[in-house]
Amino acid sequence: MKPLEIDNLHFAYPATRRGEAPHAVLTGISFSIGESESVGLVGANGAGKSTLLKLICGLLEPVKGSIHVSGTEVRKDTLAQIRRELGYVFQDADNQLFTSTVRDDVAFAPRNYGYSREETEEAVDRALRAVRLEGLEDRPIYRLSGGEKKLASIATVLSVQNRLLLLDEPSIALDPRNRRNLIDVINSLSCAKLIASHDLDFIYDTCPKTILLSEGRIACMGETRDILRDRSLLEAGGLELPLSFSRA
Amino acid sequence: MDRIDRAVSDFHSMEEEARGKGWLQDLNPLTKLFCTVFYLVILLSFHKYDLSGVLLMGAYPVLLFTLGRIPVRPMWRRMALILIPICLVGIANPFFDRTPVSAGTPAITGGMVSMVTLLLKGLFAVSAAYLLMVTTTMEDLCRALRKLHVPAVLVTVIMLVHRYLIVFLQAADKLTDAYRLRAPGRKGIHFRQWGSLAGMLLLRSVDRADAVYQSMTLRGFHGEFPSGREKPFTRTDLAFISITVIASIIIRYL
Repeated sequence: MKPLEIDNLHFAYPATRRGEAPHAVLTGISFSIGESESVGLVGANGAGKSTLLKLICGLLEPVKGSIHVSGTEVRKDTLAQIRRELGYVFQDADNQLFTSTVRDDVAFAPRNYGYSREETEEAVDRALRAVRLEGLEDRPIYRLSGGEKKLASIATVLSVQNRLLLLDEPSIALDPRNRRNLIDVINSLSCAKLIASHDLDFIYDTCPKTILLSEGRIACMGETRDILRDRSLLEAGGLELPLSFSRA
Repeated sequence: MDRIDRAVSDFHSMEEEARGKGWLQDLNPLTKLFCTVFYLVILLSFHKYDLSGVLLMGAYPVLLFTLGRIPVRPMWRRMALILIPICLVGIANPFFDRTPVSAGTPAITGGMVSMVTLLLKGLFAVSAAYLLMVTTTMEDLCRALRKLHVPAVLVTVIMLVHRYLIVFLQAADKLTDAYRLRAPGRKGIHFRQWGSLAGMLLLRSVDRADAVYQSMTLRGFHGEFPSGREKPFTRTDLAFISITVIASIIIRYL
């Protein structure tokens, strides 16, 4: 069973005024992600990237179509099961981190899932090792730098071993060193990943495959190298050639 | 640093102090919660003219501040919003209660004594609550409440209010900063802007609180905060409870 399978997915936000039609965001989205595969999700602002991620983890309900995570359909009655299989990293790390210390936040999911004290400690250590934040366990969240917050927010979902990791704009507001560190961390993770980002260079460094969303549809899906080199395709999707290609 | 900045910073400092090292911080949260509640009950039970008894009850906060090496000065600022009304509560007593309680000139009236008693009761009660807050994290406090079989819903609400208060303050801080940068030289926020800013603040904090809640549910939260590492109940806890209870009863009844 694949970590993620999406079939003919449609989604629209309800109309804000009477008489208005619902605002269609996604139309006929179908794709799948295999074991340990890393897929980039690119598109202009409002293309539906974040909405798609929220649909996958059940924060929104599709109008039509289906989403399967590890073979289980995402429905209200399967949400608890689905959420054990996937981890969602928010765009804003401050939304992800809500307890007082790094340790408490990373331990939040294992404790909720009934891990024993020893298992929780082990899971916290493992997750912090994976994101290279060992030694910061007892540091208050508000004392972390932006880069550390982002890594800590990834650790919060790695503490339970997920098959699928969803990352929403992970490289946003990171300096070059933290960005490089994040790329290394993401590449070292063995689970399947779906990364939504505007940062095409980041996608190039982390995802061998890419999906280009444009006006709620999949405009193109394939090898990242091919998509990110296609200027006309990117421009049609409201994007531009990544810096690493435009300089070449 | 403006007021909101300071409030957020105070919040964080208090949390950090509560996580610090010290014998008071290391006590079991249940011990501290029990002793604080017991102390407050005994303190509030003193008669309004029993000034000497109330004065003796001041030993509890004074000793804890001293032995626990907890700075007193930040308390005045952090608790000012509560302390000021407390000081005002008994201010009218001397006008209504003119019964003389001692001979001499000027005569000391019952109203004067009850005013001072009320003031001290308030001050000591706030000090005891403050001591609990700066030596116990909210997580530990909520865990202690759960052990006392306080309903999970109530404990979760307390926990979330504590979290969302910071979210709310941060949202307010960003909004007022943005306002101030575009209204240089203006003191405070113009009353015409209050409505739109309050609405914006509400929307932003609800939005942010919603995202935090989503993050929690995605990590298996189902209505009750999981218990983390617990502090053991030691001999120090037993000694602390015994001394607090026995001393309070002696002061109250002997």
